[in-house]
Amino acid sequence: MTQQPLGPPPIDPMSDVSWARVEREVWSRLDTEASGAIRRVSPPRRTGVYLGAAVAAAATVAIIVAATRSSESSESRETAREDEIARVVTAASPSMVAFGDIELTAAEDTAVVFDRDPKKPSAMVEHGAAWFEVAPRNGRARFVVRAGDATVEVIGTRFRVARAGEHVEVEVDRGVVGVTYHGTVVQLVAHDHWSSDPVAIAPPPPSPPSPPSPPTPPTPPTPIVVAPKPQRPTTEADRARFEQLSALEVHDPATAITGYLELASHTSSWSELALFAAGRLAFDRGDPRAAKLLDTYVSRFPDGANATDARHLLARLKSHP
Amino acid sequence: MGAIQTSRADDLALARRAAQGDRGAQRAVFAAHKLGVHHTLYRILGANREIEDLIQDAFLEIFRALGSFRGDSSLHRWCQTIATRVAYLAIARRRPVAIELSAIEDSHASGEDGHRLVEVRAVARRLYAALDRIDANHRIAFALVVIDGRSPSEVAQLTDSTTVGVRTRVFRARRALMKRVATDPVLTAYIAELEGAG
Repeated sequence: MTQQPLGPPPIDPMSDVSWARVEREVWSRLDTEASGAIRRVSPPRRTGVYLGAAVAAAATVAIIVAATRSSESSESRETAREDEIARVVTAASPSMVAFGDIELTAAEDTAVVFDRDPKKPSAMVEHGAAWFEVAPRNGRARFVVRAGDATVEVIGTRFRVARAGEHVEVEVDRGVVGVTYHGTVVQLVAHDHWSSDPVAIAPPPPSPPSPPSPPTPPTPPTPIVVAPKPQRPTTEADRARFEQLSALEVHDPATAITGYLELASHTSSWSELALFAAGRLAFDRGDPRAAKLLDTYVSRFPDGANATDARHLLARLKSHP
Repeated sequence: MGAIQTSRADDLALARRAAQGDRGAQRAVFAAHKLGVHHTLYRILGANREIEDLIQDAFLEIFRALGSFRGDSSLHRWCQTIATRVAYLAIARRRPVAIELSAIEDSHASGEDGHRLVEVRAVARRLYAALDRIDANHRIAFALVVIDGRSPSEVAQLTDSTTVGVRTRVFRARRALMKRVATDPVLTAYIAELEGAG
């Protein structure tokens, strides 16, 4: 030991990325507590699978792989995530970057922090706008995009998030996303547009070319508010079951429908979503039970979160039986 | 870690807005007190891989409890109190293991300062490993008074104790530590140095 005093042990500062992660988790958990709602995002009706090139058209893109936590030891590194945190910054022209099966097309003058944690992959739009192409999760963790106070949660879809200061806009090209904002959960379907306030941010950039997707019935343009309904209890088990069934839809839709119907017989708030999901999935598959299920849904939940959607599908069934 | 200089009235107004869900006020509370919360947790627990989760826990507790803030103390002190409680619960719940500080890459570890930094990290690692094995209340008092250099009266407020009680805890922590580090002359000298500085 040296003769010179060592002084108190140093306190390792946290990186900006770590602070950003802590802060957004705090807001996210506060929002969840405030809403009293558990995530209620319906599964996508159609999804776009597009595995983009690792890096393309990246003339002006800068990707900074942030260092992992400075306070992690060699021991902790063994159990640490294998992912990386990257910051994508564009200047005068848009750029496209793929992180695994999630593709990001950043507009000009945009900054996005991308966390590849396989347990909770996420992105944070610092400013600007970006399109996200998310392959179906198939049971994997949902992908979450945060922009200001808005949280966008997806299973598999293509959508755009734009942020200017605290103003946030979300635009959905296909699939379904859930937007949590100040405790309110809004479900968006294809061609929906959501804004955190009436003030427009900027005209959206031209949509980059999208890969072809299988033909599916059109979806209604009206956002569906699925604010929590306290009169019906929400159970964690039902939520987990609903998510399991969502994951089953792609590979085993028949079992998913059966499961949804079983869940629909419960008394929790998930029974409503499950009944609609069963009807929607039956509709997508041309299942003859679709009309009966959707009709039942409208009868039981005439003001339900998906009532507009259900009526729309019923109308289509009647016009094109 | 400098204390945030605000009036009690400002603190109270900010706390009320944050308690009502005003995200702007909540952000202001977070920005103003995040370093203090981090500092307190780090001092009590040492470097540990759960620090981010613990900071989250602390701020969630802070925001949940802001409605009960009456301005009897500064908001800074109030947040520190909650951080101390979170640290106590962390110790009681799972006793986070102090990580190998010596294994941390340090880009500045060169030259005389670098050698000193490596040395202090190594001895700090052994110090926190020894602290892991003593009573949680004793550990907190020792960490805040001896390592962080806070006054016993301040620590008494943070831990809802008395000045005499804090001094007693520090004494007992020291006694327990010295038994454990008797065969480590470097750490023994380091503890003596910290006590002298405090």
